[in-house]
Amino acid sequence: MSRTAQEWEERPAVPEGHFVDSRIYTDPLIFNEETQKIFNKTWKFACHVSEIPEIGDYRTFDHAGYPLIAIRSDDGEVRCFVNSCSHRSSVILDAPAGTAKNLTCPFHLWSYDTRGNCVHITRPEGYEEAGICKANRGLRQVRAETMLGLVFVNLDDSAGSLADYIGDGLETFSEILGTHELEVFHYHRVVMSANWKQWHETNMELYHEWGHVVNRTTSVAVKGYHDRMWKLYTNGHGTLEPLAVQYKNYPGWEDRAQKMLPGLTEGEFRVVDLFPNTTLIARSTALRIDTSTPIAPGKTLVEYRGLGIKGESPEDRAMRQKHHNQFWGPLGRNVSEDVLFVEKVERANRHRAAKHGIIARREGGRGQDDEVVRSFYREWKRQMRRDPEDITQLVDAPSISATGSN
Amino acid sequence: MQSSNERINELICRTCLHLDQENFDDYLKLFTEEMNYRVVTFSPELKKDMVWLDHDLSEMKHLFKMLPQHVKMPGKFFRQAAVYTIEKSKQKWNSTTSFLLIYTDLDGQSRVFAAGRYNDEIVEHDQKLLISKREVHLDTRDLAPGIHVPI
Repeated sequence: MSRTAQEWEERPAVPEGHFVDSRIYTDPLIFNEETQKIFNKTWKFACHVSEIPEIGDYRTFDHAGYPLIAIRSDDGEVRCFVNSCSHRSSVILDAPAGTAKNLTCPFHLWSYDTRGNCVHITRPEGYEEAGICKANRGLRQVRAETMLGLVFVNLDDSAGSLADYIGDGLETFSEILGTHELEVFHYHRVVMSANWKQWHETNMELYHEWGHVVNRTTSVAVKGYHDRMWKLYTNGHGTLEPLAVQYKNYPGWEDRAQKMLPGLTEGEFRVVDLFPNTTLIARSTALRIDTSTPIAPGKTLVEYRGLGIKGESPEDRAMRQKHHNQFWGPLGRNVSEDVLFVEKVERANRHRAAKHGIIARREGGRGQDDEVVRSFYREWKRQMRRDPEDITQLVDAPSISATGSN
Repeated sequence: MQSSNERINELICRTCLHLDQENFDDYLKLFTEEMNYRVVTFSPELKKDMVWLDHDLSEMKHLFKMLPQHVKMPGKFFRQAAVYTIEKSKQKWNSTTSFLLIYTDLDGQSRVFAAGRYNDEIVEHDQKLLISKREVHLDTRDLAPGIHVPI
């Protein structure tokens, strides 16, 4: 039966933690608060080490509104700096990637070495009276740590280590990422009309796999699909037990029985969702990493990377590329549908036609259970100190909990 | 009697027309049995070329067959193509065509969805000109949300 306006707006009759207020996706104040309380303080996946293999190689990107540079310094360490000159604040590097011995600002030609030291001030004698000199004008360094080839950055100098933050969250990917040297062969980005949390939800809740014909045929229909248990970690991360996906169930596709990535068996699917907004997915022969950058409440940049084994033969790379693209390329059969799904949700949320998002599936922590989403929101609540069921309600910081109430 | 250049021009325009009209059977009839269709682009982020689609005729047929079951962008695509060069080499022609792919949504708003070039290899078979290789070289790298049909 349809519902009246009042009924539509009523709190859903579900247990606590089983729905969210749609304003968490649309309210500009919540968006700003997320930037301050989450993105300014948590570890954010920046790039893979293979993107900056040589000294002076850099990647630029934005995080929490900051333009940043990840660079391989002359001592071989990966460092991160705010991409802003210490003089008049100009962005120093425009290109998304490159190689530089020194980072020279195009505005007044101040220059910095790969460790962020200021090494050149044009006509420095003009600053002597004011006390400005190279020694006190270095770049703003941002913490950067690497785990299994993944470079993470953190704007908070006082944050705990990356290892503490990830915990065991990458245990199911350690063999995949850590056995051979990997390299990124695919990169594309999409600016979508959706909130960043919607994208991460779609990476977590597998109930939406019913919406993809490729997932229905190759995964949902497979024996054992609904029996896999989610494993939740501290800090809002989660992973799911593997599944042997039957790729040949989709017309024209082949099995993925050869050249599997290390630790993976024929057709094997694995996923790990890292709070707040990075997901790794392995599909036997192919590996995807995606991460988002919130732009506005209803605007999100998502970057997609595909990785292969460095030095593999052209034939092996072509196969891996094909398998990657089948699901995840911009002309693939899966990822673009996810974008369409979340944009449809955003359209209804935008002016609050929709009031609540339901995350109430309970399947004993298995496959399409929403517990991983609820775990995400418990972490969101802890960091935001705000109730996702009613954003007007501030809450005391809940204790860290991985398993919650499932 | 059409010149070979006029016939090639018409062939390339027909590929656009058939895709615009989602007339996929006739689209594939413009290719050889041994055809190869690739979509490539250069990534300044990785400083290397990327392949985003690489299909033979059988894979293209499967792709088209499954399209009705996918959730796709609603609306229409329209290709604006201009053949820039045609060069003959032995029994083949190579052409470069600039194109814009324009998307019109359900409300009638149009926008440029992608820009790039078709690099085609064309052969004559039973007095018909057919495309044996098409490489779609994209300048556009954000194809939000993504596209299910060939470009």
